[in-house]
Amino acid sequence: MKGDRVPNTDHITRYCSGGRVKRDGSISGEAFRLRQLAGYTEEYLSVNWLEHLGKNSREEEIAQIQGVLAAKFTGGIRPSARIALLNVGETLDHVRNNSEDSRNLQVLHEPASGPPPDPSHSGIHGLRLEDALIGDLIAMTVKEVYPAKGS
Amino acid sequence: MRFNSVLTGEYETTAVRDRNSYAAPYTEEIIDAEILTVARLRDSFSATPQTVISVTTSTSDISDRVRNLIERQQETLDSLQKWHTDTWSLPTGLKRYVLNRLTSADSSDRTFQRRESSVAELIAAVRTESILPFSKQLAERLEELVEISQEEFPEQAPLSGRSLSDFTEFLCSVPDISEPDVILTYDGNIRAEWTKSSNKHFAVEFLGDSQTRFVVFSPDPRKPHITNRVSGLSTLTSLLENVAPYSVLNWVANSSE
Repeated sequence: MKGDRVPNTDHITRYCSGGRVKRDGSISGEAFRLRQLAGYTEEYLSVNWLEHLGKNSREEEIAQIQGVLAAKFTGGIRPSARIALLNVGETLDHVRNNSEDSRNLQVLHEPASGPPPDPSHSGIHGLRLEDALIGDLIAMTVKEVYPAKGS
Repeated sequence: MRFNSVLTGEYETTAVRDRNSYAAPYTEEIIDAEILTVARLRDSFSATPQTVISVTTSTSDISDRVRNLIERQQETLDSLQKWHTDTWSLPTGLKRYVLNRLTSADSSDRTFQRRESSVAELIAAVRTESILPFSKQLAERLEELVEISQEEFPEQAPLSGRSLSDFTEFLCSVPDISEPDVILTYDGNIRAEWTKSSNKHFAVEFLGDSQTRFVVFSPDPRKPHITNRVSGLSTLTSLLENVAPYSVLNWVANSSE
């Protein structure tokens, strides 16, 4: 349900376009920064809540997310784009313990009805536009990286 | 950069979006692509376009054909402006066309040319003129980022020539600097990262116009098990001075550690 907190034990993925992916395939902290869009700043960092998908394996979860991304990016997904996987509790703790203002981020469920529908869509709340350091802290908690483009 | 293009004569051409530039031969196809981009942005309402096409000629004269192409683009933008809606309009300060005649006289002109160099020209300079030992790999990476920015436009702004210019200036200012990871920000700026471990991390976003945003994770000199973390803004010229207390050169320079 919209606004529900994603449990600390659960996992989220963040789509990282090719420009934010390093040559070795790891993810830059820039992928975890809010964007200034036309006349406004993003309210939160878009992610997907994997356990909400109700799949039986990580592979199935990632395949589902790849499908959602393919539907969203109708122009196609570049091969260098990646999906970064994070554990909610580890990421929030790392940021809280290491940011200068002990930042309390929150991951909240933000289901999107679409099109395309994205029921596991969630958001990392509590970031500010200038948070380069926090972006780098989040990047250091990335557990796994997958291609954003499904096979 | 001068192109002996399909057009008559020799021209320096740059397509510019959102103050960022990349070089492209100035052909009818390119102009048509620019027109389509503006129209697409208008239709999607997803961005405020600041599409500028500048043509800098190497002589005082430009051919009638080039002039016609420019005028055609001007007419198109004028009609787009007439299609003003509440949700989309051309920015009032939009600078549509720049026609500069290059003179090769004094240093101020050369400075101007340097600042306005195209991304392709800067990358070529990295490859062929740079003293950096990793210049070839860096040039390849930059070309890859240009390609990404073109494919992911308009979500991704084109690579900024100003940012790239500052980045290369910084690299050349640090003796024995090691190769950084280079990525693009959404705004099209270069961000260079030197990460040796979770407590030895130095990242710099080159904002253009000699401004930078940096992040440092560094072991405390007295209590190395504790990590100091700092971020901030700095001019390019004072950047090393500002991060010196965190000993970033210990892992940014090849000869250290």
